[in-house]
Amino acid sequence: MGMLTDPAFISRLESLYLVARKVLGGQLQADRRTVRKGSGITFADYAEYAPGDDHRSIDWRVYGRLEQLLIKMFEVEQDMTLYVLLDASPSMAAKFDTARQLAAALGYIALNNMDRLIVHTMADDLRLLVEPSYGRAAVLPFLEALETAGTFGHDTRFDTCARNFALRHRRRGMVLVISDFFFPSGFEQGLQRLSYHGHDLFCLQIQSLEEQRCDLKGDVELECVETGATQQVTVTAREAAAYEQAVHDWNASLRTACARRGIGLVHTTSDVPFDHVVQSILRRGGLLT
Amino acid sequence: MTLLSPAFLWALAALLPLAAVYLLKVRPRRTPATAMFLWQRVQQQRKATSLFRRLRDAASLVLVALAMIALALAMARPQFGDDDRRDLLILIDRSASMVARDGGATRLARARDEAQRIVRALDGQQRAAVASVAGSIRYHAPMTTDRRALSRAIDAVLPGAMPMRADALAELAERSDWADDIRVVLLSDGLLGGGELPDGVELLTVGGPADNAGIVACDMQRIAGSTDQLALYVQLASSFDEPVNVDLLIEHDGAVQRVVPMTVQPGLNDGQMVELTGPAGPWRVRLDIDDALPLDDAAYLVVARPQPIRVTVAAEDRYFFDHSVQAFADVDRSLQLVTEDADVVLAQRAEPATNAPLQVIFAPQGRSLLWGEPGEPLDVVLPRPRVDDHAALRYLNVASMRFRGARRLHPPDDAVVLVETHTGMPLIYQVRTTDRTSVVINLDPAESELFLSVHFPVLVHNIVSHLARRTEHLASTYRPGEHAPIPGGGADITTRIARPGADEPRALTGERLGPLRELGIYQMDNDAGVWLVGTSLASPHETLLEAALAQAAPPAISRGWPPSSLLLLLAIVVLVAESLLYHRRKVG
Repeated sequence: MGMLTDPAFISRLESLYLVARKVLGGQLQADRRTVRKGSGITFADYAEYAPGDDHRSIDWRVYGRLEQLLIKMFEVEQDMTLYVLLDASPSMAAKFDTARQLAAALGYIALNNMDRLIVHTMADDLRLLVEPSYGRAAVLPFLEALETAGTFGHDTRFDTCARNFALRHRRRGMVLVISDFFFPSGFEQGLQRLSYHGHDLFCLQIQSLEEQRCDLKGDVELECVETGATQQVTVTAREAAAYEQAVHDWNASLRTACARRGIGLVHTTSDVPFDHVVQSILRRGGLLT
Repeated sequence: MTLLSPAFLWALAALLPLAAVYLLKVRPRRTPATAMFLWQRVQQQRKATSLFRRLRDAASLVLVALAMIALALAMARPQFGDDDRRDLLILIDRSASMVARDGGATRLARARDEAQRIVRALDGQQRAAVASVAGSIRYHAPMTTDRRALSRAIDAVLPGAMPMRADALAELAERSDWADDIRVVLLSDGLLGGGELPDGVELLTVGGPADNAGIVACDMQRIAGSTDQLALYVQLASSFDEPVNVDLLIEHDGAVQRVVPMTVQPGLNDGQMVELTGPAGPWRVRLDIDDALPLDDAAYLVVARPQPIRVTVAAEDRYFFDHSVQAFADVDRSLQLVTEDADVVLAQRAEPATNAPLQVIFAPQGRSLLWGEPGEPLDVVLPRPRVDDHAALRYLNVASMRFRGARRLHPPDDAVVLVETHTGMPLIYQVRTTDRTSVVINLDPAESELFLSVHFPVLVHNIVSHLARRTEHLASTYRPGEHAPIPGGGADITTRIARPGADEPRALTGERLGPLRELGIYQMDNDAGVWLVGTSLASPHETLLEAALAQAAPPAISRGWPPSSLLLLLAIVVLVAESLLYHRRKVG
């Protein structure tokens, strides 16, 4: 029995779901209404018939009185789609458990609220981990799929993955990116691509304390965990401070980019329990910006 | 430069594996990085650091190699000069002249410093011993490679007042079996007591010429026939280049009795006499001068108080006996004629009926334990002394004395015969019984016409002085290293000795005090009385500080830290420097 399918873990997920219901009430939805018109049970408006419209939607009574072909339009009670993009590059190895736990928690809440859930892993390529799923029955397959997920690839090509995602998923939804956002080529273009089809975007940045704080001293040969490239450096207090400042600046640039695009962002570290992070997200209104 | 152990240069071959090990050592530890691109950004801002790191690694390798080379050379024991590295006997002159101040430090201090430098230069396998010499040779440390023990032994060489005795150095020369294996290095000012430097002893001179004046000879006696008139003889010497005017202070019981202005000429001066009035007892004669050697500025003299031997006469014909005693009572007060409480009784023919512990019996007659039953008179007597130069026979020509009236006697077995006939019949012998000591003189003084001979008072004086153990007179002063007789002393007599400056007297058994080591006044106290002994340096060899300074070339001997130690120190410094770089590598 794996970490994510453990009953105790699922029990913690259920607790989070209850908290979500209490905190967010009916906004969790599927109950969310949309202005898009379509099939449903609540009448919204009439529209002129156009070739190709469903004949079943023609209001024949109006035709009888007015001899005009009008079709009845109803409000659609649309389910939300939650896209989870889970960074599975080697740089996430040390934080991958936390990342999977967070993905599991937020996916669990979505499935229990009758939202559609699609999970991708990304590294140097985008891989589908969980096909579109719906309802509580999909919870266990979803967790099992997460359980089996592992890191892969030799780089994090966020831009490529975002482009592939945009090509595959035109249906609007909430895109949750779980990553350390240590993308050598940057994150600006990727974020832009993910927002391209009107997706609501939310970034969950996970870093370890070791990444934020430099405990290295003296001569070390740094080896990139993704590319395997090496570089010899002498770490003095000055170098250590410069590195920490670089990490700080990098994270600050991510915050700036998200704020500019109206993207939600939560930053956490791998030592913080995942349920604390989820509760924090819920208390600030969920994955809405 | 020579290498004592050149084989150790093979250690340089270790440089190659050392370099290999070093290259492995400087290889940094590999650490995974998740944000490598951020490190690359940091490093781009620190290109100078990277250049320094490369230079630092090269410098570290050079330093390690330098340390290795220094270690190899140290093990090879390089040496400059001709020191053959034989075992050493470090001989330090501790004579009085080494107390002389020389530029703020004494010559002895300088000699000890040089000795410490020699010890420091020992190469670890070379052994050394430490000894000091003045009146005699004293060993402070045996042959050892233990530098600490040698250093402690050198520190244990203390200054003294003993003048250098040339014979002491000659004893070393007699140890010719050392010559091939051991170098003897004498650290001295070169004032060797008038003797020559023995063969096989190398002199390392310390100190230079110094201005000094001092008393090199002195005596003080009561003028004959006077009770309070004293005569002082003093001889001075100077190593000043110019004549020096100085006051001679004559002190008794701490009070100056007389001040005599004097001009001390360079070199050895003629002796001078000073007459003064004063009592018997201790005197100090002092030069009021500030010079290099204070020890020779004062002389300690004793004018002996009369302490005569009390003699009584128990003879029928006492006229000649009385006059013999009285003669010495008048002249030097060594004897005193008394009627009771006598120390010595002079008797004739029979043992006297007195309690005197000492007795002299002439012409024994009748039966006695001291001579048995006297036998027939001896017709022909050819006397001969049994003991040569015996104090009781001093100034006597025994062979010319007539021993008429001598008889065949039978002294006890433990009698000490001083004079006997050619056939072995005792003529003068000494017998010790439980309560007294007796000398039996086997002759009739009247028949031998001894009363009319000068031999009689001399014989009486000698025998009485011998019995009272007062045969030697105390001089007014003694030099350090000499022995003084203990009046009344003997193998069975304990004398309490108070040394100059010492709080507690110590007991001494014997007839002589010495060798005298301290300058000043000794006090001897026993049953015979209280006696004072003065000790003064009074040595021209010690006072004339520049007179015999050796001009010989200094011996070829290594001193100071050996090159191997300096190389080791260099290696340590280099390794410390490299450690700093290593620290920089490891902790930034």
